[in-house]
Amino acid sequence: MVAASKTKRNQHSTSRRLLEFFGSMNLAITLLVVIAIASVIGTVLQQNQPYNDYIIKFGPFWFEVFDKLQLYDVYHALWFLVILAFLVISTSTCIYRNTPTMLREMRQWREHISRKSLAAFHLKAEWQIPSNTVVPIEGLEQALTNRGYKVKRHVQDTTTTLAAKRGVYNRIGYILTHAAIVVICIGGLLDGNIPIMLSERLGNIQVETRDVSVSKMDKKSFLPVENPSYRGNITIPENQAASFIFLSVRDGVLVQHLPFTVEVKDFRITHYDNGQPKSYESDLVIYDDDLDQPIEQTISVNHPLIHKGITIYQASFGDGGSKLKLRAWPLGASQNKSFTLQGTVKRNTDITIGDEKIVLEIGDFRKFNIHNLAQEAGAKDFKNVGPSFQFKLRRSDGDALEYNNYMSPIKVEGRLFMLSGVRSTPGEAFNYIHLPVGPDGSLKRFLRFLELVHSDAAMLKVAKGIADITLSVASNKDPKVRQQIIDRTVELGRLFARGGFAAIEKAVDRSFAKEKRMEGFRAYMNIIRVQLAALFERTLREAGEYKNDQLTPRQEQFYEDAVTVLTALPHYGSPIYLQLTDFEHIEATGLEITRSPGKYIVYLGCTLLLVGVFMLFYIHPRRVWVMVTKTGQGATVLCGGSDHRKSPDFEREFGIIRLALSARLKPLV
Amino acid sequence: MSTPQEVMDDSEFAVLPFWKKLTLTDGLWAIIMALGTVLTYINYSGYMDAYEVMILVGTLISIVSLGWRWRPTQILVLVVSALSLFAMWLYAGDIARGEQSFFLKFLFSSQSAVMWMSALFVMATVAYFWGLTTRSDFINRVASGMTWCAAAMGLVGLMVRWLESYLINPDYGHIPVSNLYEVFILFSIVTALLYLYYEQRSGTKTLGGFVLLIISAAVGFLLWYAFGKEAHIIQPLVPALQSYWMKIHVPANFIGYGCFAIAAMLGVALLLIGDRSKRGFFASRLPDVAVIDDLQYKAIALGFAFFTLATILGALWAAEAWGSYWSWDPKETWALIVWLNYAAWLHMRLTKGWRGATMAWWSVIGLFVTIFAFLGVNMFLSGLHSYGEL
Ligand code: HEM
Repeated sequence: MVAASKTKRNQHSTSRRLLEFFGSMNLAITLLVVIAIASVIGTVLQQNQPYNDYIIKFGPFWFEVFDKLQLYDVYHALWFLVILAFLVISTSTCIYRNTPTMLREMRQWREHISRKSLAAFHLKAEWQIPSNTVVPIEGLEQALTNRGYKVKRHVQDTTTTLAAKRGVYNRIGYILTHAAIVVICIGGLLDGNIPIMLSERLGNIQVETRDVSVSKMDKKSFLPVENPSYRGNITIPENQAASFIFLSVRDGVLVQHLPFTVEVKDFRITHYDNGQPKSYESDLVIYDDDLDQPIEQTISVNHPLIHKGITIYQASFGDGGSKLKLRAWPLGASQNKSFTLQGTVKRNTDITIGDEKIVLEIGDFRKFNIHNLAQEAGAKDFKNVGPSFQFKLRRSDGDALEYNNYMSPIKVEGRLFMLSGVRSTPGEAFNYIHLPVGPDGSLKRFLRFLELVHSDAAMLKVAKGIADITLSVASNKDPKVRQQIIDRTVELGRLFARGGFAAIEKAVDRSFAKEKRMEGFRAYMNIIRVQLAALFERTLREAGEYKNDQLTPRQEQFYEDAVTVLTALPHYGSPIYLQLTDFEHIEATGLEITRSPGKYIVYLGCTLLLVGVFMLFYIHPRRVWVMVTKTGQGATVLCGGSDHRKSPDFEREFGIIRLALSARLKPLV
Repeated sequence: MSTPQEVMDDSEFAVLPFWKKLTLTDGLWAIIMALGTVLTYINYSGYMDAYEVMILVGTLISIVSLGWRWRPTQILVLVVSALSLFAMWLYAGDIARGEQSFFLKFLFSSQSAVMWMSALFVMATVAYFWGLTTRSDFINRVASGMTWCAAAMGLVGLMVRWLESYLINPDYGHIPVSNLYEVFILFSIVTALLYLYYEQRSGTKTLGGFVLLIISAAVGFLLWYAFGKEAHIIQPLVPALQSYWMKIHVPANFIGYGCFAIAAMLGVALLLIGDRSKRGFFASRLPDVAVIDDLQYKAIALGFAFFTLATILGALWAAEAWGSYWSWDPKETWALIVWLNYAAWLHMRLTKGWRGATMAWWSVIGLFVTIFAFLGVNMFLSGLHSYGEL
């Protein structure tokens, strides 16, 4: 018995202690601050990035640590949700504990207040009324109602108390504000990822981390149509349709089935005159058995489509597999001529160069490239320099360089070039080679020159010429010497054609002593210059562009540009130059599709919050008492006022009330 | 305030419902405002969607109620409208006139107007401190006057910039609250007006210097941003910002920011006063601590209320633009942080009754948090919020 009652009391006290704890203002403040701090983490550490990026950033060890702490998706981490839960509980407790008292207080008049406690008020006034006069109670009451107070009169033998109050609804504000916090959090939870988290822990679903097509995915990675709340993305090429979306979870995805099918008829980007994008629009068609005819609607940023409580947003865009017509120009020895081929963005194409099999992986195609072509820094001169495409060439040995080629010639320093950029890792910027464009607007001249540079026959011819000239001035005309000169020249030419300056330097290092190397190099380069000049001359002759035995300034310039390319080509790492000759642009639109039933609860909460906060701040709860006490020699009128915020405004207010009352009492005094 | 002796009845002590306090001029002014709104609608309804028409009406209501509650703004609104219309007339639909017409080039083109605003704010700051030092009420009144003029010029600048955006290219046309440069102008104006309101209510001009100090800082940034980065050039809107939500979300936000800024500067004043007993330079000149403290609470309360509104509007907008009312994007998250911070402040003030240095420091720190939410996020953190990269 005793024990039983004891435990009972303990339970009782523990539950009270819990109330105390959760309802305590200190906890409330702590929670507000803790949530604020926790939120900072998620903004400093970029959330939901590909996990490889994190590994690169933090290294394997810290990557693991942060992963364990769920720092890559803080706001959906268990610990964060727990803190939020605490806030909800704490706030609820506050409401639970304060609401009854507040509602009671709102109704109370406190007309039984004792004279003593009234006399103890910080704001008070007192009047002595002579015995021969009556105190105009109505007048005093009127004075208070004039100030917007509700008044209750209470008479107890010799004492009349006027209990007046104002702005009681402030307490409603308190209740609304705090209830709103709870409502908002609940609405948020409904839209949160808790169901998914749970069924994942239960093993009902499994996040797909492999990079495979939907058809190959595990059935466990699919979510049913009934799923109440989700937020995912899908990229749909023009004239194609989809009836599912991908939800990204940590480093993997889940597939969410939709209760309808979305078809993309067309995707458009419009531009301002300065090249900035003006709008992204998609023409959508929604097919749904429950519809008698499909919905056709154009969506754009800020103008989503809503069907069956599911909202479809214009989120992003990309290439939907554009078809590209290409011409491959051999860069170098291989004697085969240029040839055409077809490519499709995001697909692979096999090419055979000589006896090597190369895989062409076209990554992206861009129809517009708006560049700032202004010469001087700071100035703006936006121009569209036309289409470009980005691709990788995977060599037989498996490794690949990435390229970015422009379709049409681009003017640089007043001359036209075909630009082709190359890089070895996605991180770095492309560095471009500028292939000079001939007077006919094509690469023919340059490529012919290049071909000659790589052709042994042509080299030999030039070498012979050089040898004869050298010997014509020399005394000894021994044919062996002649042959040596020829061989050496041809060899140098080949070296340069294959390896550029670097190769020449090597040759010099091999065949000269240290102190002689400088002049050795100079000597070699002279020979090579003469060769190249001769070959370029021949290129022009063949085209019938070499007039009165000398280069025009433009041709000089072209020659210089061509040689620059020659020296760069060894780093270009590709046996061909791919020229984009024609394309069929197929775009894809990136849609975000969400279902969030909690939304309306959250909005309700927001409304409560707004109303509540304004009530809290702008309805001022105030109370005033006027106590008239008959005494032997007349009566005393005692007035006191309070507002629980001790605001200077109320002191001012009380001053006015005092004057108002004096005005009523003065004549008597 | 009359003394009891002369008073026989207390009708003058009664609180009247607001419509009984309205004068003839109040009525006239409201009618002018209504006419202006109707004209605006007639001329520009082609550019507005249904929501924007609602916003137009909402603006009329708020301006009228503001003017009735705080009469000086009636003059402000009239002056700003008149000057803006004058500028519009001078432009005559041709942006090039901005360089030719004298009045536009040197006074009312948005850029010149903003420069005048900047100059006036800086001068007002100096004047307020001068007035504080010399205890001269006259100089304080001059400072107040300058602040009013600065606000007026700023508003004219924004109105004309709005027009200019359409003159440059109808495609570009948008309300000038779309990038850091424009919102810094907005911030200066809003903060100044909020201060002027409290100045009038509290009847002391001695705190002006402190508030104007932060406005001058904003102006400093503004000038660097304009001349250093050519940020004043009007750019078209990115698709994400092409929404009527911007018209209400951003201004609501800046009422909040303005209030927090004022609260922080009052905090600085409180800290400078320090201990009343040793009557230092500030202690002897600034009003009673209780008064400043109360102003500080009022500022943070108003700021909190409007910041709540702004954040909710932001959520509604996000729901329409990004597909989720809350996506924990850095800007959103920092808004939450700011909000929670001031919620905590209010709790301490109202439930634990904290006052004095601690709260003063807290409000100063609060401003730094706010500044980070407003600037830092754009500079250091990447996110969905498409505007204001420095
Ligand atoms: C994000 C969450 C919260 C917000 C935004 C919030 C907001 C507010 C605001 C603005 C006030 C000022 C009321 C006034 O002007 O008098 C207030 C007062 C108060 N809050 Fe909270 N509050 C939150 C959480 C809490 C929690 C968790 C508790 C429970 C410990 C709590 C308890 C109180 C109490 C007791 C008051 C005093 C009411 C009064 O006497 O005026 N609040 N709250």
